[in-house]
Amino acid sequence: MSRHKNIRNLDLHAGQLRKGLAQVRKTLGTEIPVTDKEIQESLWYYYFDVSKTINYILSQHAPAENPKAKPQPQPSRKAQKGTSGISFSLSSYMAHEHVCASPRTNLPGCLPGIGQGHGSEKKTATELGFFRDCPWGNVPEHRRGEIIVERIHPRGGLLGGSGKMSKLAALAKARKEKAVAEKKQDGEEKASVSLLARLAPKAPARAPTPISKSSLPPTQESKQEIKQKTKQVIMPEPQPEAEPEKIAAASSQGLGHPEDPKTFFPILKDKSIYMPQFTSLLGSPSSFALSFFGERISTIKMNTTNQETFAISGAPTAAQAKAFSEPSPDDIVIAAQSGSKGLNNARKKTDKPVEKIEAAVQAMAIDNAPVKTRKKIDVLEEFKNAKTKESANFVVIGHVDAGKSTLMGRLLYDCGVIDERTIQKFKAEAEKIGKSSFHFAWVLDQTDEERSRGVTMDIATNHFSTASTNFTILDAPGHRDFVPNMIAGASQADFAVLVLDASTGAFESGFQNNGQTREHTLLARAIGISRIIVAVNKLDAVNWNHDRYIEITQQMSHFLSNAGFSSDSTSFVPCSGLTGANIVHDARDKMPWYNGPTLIQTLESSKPQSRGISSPLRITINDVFRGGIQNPVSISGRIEAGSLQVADTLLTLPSKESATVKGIEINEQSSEWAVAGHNVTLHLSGIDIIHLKPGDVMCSPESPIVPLSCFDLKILSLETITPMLVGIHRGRLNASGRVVSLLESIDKTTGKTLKKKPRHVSPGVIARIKVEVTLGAGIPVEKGNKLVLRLGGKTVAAGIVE
Amino acid sequence: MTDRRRINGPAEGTTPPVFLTSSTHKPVIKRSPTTLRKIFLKTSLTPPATGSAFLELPTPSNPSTPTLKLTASVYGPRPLPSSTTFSPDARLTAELKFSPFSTPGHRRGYIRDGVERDLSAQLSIALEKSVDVGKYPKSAIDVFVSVLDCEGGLGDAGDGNDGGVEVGLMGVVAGAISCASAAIADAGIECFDLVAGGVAGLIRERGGVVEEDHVGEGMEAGEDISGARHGEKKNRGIALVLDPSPTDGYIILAAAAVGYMAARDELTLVWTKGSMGREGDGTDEVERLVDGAIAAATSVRLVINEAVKERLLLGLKEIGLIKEKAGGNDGDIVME
Repeated sequence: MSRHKNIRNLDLHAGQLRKGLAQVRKTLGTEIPVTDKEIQESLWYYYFDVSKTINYILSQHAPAENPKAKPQPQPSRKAQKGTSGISFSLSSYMAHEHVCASPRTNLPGCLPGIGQGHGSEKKTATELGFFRDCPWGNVPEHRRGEIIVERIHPRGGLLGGSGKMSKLAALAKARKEKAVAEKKQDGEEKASVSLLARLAPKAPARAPTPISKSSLPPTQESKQEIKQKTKQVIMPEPQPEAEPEKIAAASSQGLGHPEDPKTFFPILKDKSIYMPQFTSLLGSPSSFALSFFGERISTIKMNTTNQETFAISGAPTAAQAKAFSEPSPDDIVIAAQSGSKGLNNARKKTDKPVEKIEAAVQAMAIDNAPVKTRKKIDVLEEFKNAKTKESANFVVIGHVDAGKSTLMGRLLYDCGVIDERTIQKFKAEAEKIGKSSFHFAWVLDQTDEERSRGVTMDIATNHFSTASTNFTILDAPGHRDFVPNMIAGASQADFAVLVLDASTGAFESGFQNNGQTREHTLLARAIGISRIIVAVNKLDAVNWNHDRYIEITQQMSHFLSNAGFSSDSTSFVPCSGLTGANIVHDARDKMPWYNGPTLIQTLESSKPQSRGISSPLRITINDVFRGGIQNPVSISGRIEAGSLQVADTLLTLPSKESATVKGIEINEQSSEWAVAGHNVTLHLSGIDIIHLKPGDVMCSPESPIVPLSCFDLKILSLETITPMLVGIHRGRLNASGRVVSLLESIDKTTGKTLKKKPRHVSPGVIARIKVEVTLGAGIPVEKGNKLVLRLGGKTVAAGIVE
Repeated sequence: MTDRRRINGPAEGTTPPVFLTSSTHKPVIKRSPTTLRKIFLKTSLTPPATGSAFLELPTPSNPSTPTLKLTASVYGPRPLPSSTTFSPDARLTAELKFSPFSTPGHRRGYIRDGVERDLSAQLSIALEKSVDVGKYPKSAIDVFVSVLDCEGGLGDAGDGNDGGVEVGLMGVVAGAISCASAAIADAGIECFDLVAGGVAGLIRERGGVVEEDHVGEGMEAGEDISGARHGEKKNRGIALVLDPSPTDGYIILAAAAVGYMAARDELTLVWTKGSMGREGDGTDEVERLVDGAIAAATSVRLVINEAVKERLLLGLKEIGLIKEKAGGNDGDIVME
């Protein structure tokens, strides 16, 4: 339907116009001076809605009561409809009902033609009511929806997160508040109505037919209309909390058809029949639905009176009848199992409340560890009485390529630890990569990298025994890059074997300032090794030259005495690792000038120094590993002092966790106890592996080490010392620290203070300095511990904690 | 030696259970044409889904007779798959699937057939307008309806009893709409309104008594249909039946299914079948049908309200916000 004026001029709605005009005239009477054209015009605008038209005309021609009223109500109405200009009306069945389904005597022109034969007049679609429900139709005010577009943008505010509103935002807010206040004045009309209430018919009082009685003498029809409306207002009170019956009734009432409700809804004639149906529309669940909503349905107290029970046809056989009279096989097994201790305990525990169970489980976890009871062995007594062989650890030191690993490999081979076949295999493999002379070294250098590079990188440990002593070899790397590893190895040793390369030039290079012969010797002394055996190796390369041997021994004994080794505790052995001369078997044929002991005899004669067996336990962890399924946490290391036995509790520093000793292994043989000097493997329980790392110290909980972060050191400087950053090394332990201050320098011989607070300490001077650990809480050292300070790959000082 | 590795049955064998046809069933009261069947509707059935619902019509007197059972699950709002283009609104997709065992008479395939595709499209249209898609930009809301059981009568127009239309699919669509709308509400997705599905059909009426289809009456019935078209002549009217079931045995001349938002009084879907004209008194059969379907949907809406409310109250009860009242009367709705 177009609203173009040309279309309007087409005489499509002549009948409607005519009828409407007549009605309006009738209602208004003659009091109001209005032309037919005006009425027709407004009828057109209001879609032939007579009541609206009347309203409009009344407002237009109202007497002086409200002279300032806007002459054009249409735009104001539009403004009322929606704030954003978007307004639409809901199609309405129910509202339509109240406007149109009233008796036909009421405003017959409202929807002309419906249900009334208008003679020969052809009915248009509109007349037939096709568009009665369309949004542009005669939709009452109360049914008009309002779209409020919610703002997407955040609240206006000043930049920078200030809580203050911007001027624009403040203005907008003020406007909004004003609008809200105005809205409130409108009364409950726009109050939100509950969803259910909206189902109910609305009071037509809100319908846009405000014909004022005062201004208008009520005609017969308007009287009827008012009557009708008041009736409707009373009848379906729009309660938001209406009972479903009411709503149902209301909605069903609204479904009636204007033409003939009787034929349309025959059963609706009597509300009492139709209404209860809605309450009973809530179905009860089938057994299928009950199976997954059972719980919820029971909480709502659903009456399931007609529950079906299934009867099994056929009488049960005698066997079936007695099928469960006896305990089932499972019951028998469970009964038998419950006789056992473990299950009984578990079952008892499950009866307790959750907290108790948790506590019990935790307790069980501790119990689970198969800790042996402490046997209370008097370890010292046991050690005295022990008829076992002496044990000695020695570290092999020396310049790179001096032949340390080869010498030790030969030693092990000659002692029978390594069989012929293994050596042959190594020999073949070494030849393959062109390092045929390295096959003895491969006994100790076991990683691929060590073998391919021909250099020992980490400490290799091996054991062999002679008639009187069990020896542990700690093969230290000679390369300058791996000096920290050498320190770790040397700290576990009782004495040292210094291997020298006798070949021309090699000894000298090792003995120069940067040579590791010099550095290793000084480090070993600093760590506390006092006994040293000098093995003059590779004499075969100098054709067993006696002069060369003497030259080397003279230089070395001078150096060693300078370094602090007494001549008693120093011995020299000429040998050749590759040929095996004078290692286990003497080589008089090659070296007629030597009639001293062989290397192994020298080793045997080297009694380890006295050990602090009776002092508190100290173990520096060398390695942490998984010792198998039975022993998830194992450590290896040397007992520096004290003794321990199985089931002892140890304290780990710096993690401060305690652990229980589950088992002790000395030289891969399990033992009940161990004392200082033993290189042991301890299997621990009651501790997580994350609390242990190489370099940590395990001690007895009675006399633990207090980790220190700042301590005084008495050092022998090897390089110039100034306040500087240093690396602190003690066995596997290394930490970064710095020299805080130089306290004093001390005379080597007299022990008197040379200078207080020196600016620097020159090489070879004894001094007292203060060292601070820069990272971490501190390191587990105590008085008397020997430390090494290194900087940039060089050992700068060795010292003792004071 | 007994075999202990396998779980063996009893040595003597068992008698399989034979279920008696229950005699405890109440005698069936024939529904009047304007009586709706009861509906069992519950939400929050499928735990992984954001929202879900289960709808079931009552089991008929003969338990082997199929009835409508369907579940709806709603997933979302969730991010759109990366392959799709940008969408400022949420995209609602609906998929209706008949379970292979759902249809009496024949077993359905797993691959979507034409009917399912058609019903999915209808369902999607019916639900789309109820959801406030503008609230969920760049998101997808996926509705899956799975028909577990249906009453049959799934043919197209004209292949029903004696030339009548079959209304099975309409019943499925109406049920799916109601169930899916409850599931959307259960998912907590913002809606303008809940959509309820309703079905109505037109049947012949003879002297105020609704005619039923009888075996062997085929010829006469066909004649009657032609007669019904000229009801004035033979003084026979057309009657409206709400919520028709294929098992009722009516000859349905025309049927309509609607998706109806009762609170807003808007239709989201109208689907009509069969031939409709104008009756002698000028009433439009289409309008009658649609009005009837709306009446049915309005009633179903109360059930949906109830189902959504039940879940909400249950949730509130669980978190201890409200206490269960004695008598189970919660506010305005009297619970059964």
